[in-house]
Amino acid sequence: MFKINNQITRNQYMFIIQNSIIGVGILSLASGVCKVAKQSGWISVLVAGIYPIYICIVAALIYRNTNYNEFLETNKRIWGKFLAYIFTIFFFINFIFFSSFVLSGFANVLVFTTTKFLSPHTIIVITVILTYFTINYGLTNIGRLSELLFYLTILILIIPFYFINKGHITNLLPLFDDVSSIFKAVPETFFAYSGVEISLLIIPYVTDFKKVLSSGVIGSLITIFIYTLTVLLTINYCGHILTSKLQYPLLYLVAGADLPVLSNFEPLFIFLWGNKIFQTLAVGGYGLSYTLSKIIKKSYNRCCLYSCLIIMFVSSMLVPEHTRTMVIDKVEPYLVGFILVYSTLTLILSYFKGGKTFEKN
Amino acid sequence: MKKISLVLLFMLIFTSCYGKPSIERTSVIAGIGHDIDKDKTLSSSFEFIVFKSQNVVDKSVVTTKGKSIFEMFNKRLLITKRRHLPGTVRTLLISEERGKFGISDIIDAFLRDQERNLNTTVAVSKQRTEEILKLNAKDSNTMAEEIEDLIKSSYEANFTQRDTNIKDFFNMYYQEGRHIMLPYIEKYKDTVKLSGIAVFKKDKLIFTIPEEDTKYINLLRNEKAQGYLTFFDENSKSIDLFCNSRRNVKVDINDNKITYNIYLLIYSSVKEANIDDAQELTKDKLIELEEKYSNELTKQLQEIADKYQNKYGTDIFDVQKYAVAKLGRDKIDFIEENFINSNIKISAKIKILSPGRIIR
Repeated sequence: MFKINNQITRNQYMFIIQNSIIGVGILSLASGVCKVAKQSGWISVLVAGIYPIYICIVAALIYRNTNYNEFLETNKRIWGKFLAYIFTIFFFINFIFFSSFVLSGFANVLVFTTTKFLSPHTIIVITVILTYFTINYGLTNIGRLSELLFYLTILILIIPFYFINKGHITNLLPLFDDVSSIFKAVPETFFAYSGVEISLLIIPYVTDFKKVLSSGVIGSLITIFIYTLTVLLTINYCGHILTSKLQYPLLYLVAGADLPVLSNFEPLFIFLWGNKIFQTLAVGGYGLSYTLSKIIKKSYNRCCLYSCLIIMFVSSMLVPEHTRTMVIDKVEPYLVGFILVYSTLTLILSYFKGGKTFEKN
Repeated sequence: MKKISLVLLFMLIFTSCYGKPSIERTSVIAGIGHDIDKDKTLSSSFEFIVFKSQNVVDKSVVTTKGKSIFEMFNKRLLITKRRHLPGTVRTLLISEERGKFGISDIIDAFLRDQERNLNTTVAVSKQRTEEILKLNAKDSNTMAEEIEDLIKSSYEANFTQRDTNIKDFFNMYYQEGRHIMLPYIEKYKDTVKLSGIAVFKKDKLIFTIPEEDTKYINLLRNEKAQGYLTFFDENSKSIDLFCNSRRNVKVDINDNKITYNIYLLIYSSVKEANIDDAQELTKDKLIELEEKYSNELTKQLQEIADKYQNKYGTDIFDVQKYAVAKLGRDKIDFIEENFINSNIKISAKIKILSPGRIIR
């Protein structure tokens, strides 16, 4: 029915990593970190950037040590058959959460801002249909989409720049009021930085393995830069109290930009940013279908359908924003913690259990 | 192809908007005014545009009373014939009495409601806002637009503050060490004029700065401002300078005593010099004038600063935020309490860049 093609170029890998991290998290990131770290929130965002960089490096090293076999093969080689399936199931659950958080967040933001007359469930259904058609053709399609949408990121970046000289430096000082709170705020950023786990699955499909490590790191660095800059400028303009009160600080900035001709920049921003969400969701859906097809040993296309239904169902349950925030706060630290432990252990073991290449599909 | 067209059809069916009044039944709100009555019931006035026929635009004002902002909104819908869009508000006007009562509910409503515009101008009025909004507008269609124009066009003189937007209003309320300071307007003949600054502490108006001091307070308060300064010599002949001011604040702390050093650097050009005809504005002469007027201005500003510091003990110079940035966020109470005992040192420096078209 659909022709699946999974090969991606190195640049496409970089763009996938960069785009899959930026999702709904960028809108509410400043609020969470300012609540704990006050005016130093942007430093927390910078510090937490270690997470995506670490995952990218570790993923590249694991596959280098094991000769770029597929995810399940590599895991079987390192952990044995039983544990490999357990970890695949864990990644399956991780991607369920990731995709549902993104989709429900997207629906909530749309209902909150531009499409007040729609029910969030309608938005979820329509977005899931789009996601289904996007992921059915395999990773190559997603890679191309990411390449295209990367340039939208630059547009999104321009908006905070409008406020670069509008704030006041006293809002950011003193830089290090309370060092411990900077580290306490790091868990608030986990949702914003999640999505990078896809690199543990897709590296074997990159055509050129030579600079996979640096591509991943560059992709993460771009995202970290965008995150830090938006949070920094938000605090610089609003001050930390107002930032922590707002639900979507970035949207507040966007709505406040006083541009000629346009009465409100917000709908245009939502339109641009919504396209990025479709891409982020496609990455989540791909990870979900990929792991599911490995677990139940069915064709990838069939699994796309199942995974879309799962995403639709789970995200419908997360619809009011406060429910979603509560679930994220509870679930995300465990997911991130588990992935960190898993990747570190796998890296160590991969040095001992290398091997020859298996045949890819 | 069939599938895609089915999907598109499916999306079009679901993405329609219904259950809302059509565009002919909506009206554009230009201004909102908040008042308070004697028995502490709130009162709010809406000024909105009425399209009578082609090219004929009129305005109308509706006032309702109630105990909360949205109770008044409910009552307003019983009177008005059209649906009102709150996203188009140009001016938010708060009367002096309402300011003294407290405006935390207004701040919350404007910040919380997603539909509200974030580029509204905020001002405080001496008279009841109802009275002001009901005046006949001369330059624009509505009074709200006229007040906005009045405030926005006053940047070029009197060193008037530029942070009159509602975003700045929220910032002044929420940032530590700052106070809400808004333009104060009053009825003047059959229109309005800008006549000072209203100073709030937390969410309550505490006093207003009269017109004669406003220029100097603005000069001390604003980071960057523009205006004209006039000096007189012994023969009561005048010299006028057009000035661009830059402010720099340094905070020193010695034995729990805070010293605020305000450095003003004023770049100016001579606009009128009605001094002795024989005198040529050479370099030496300009330096002499610079020094003379710098000292004069410093003295004048120091007097005003001391007067307001001793009289009200409230930071109207927007300098406490520097102390917060230096001492830390948790010292805010200490800074607020000790403002009245702290030293404010002002040094103004005028630099004349150009004598203008004529040099003698």
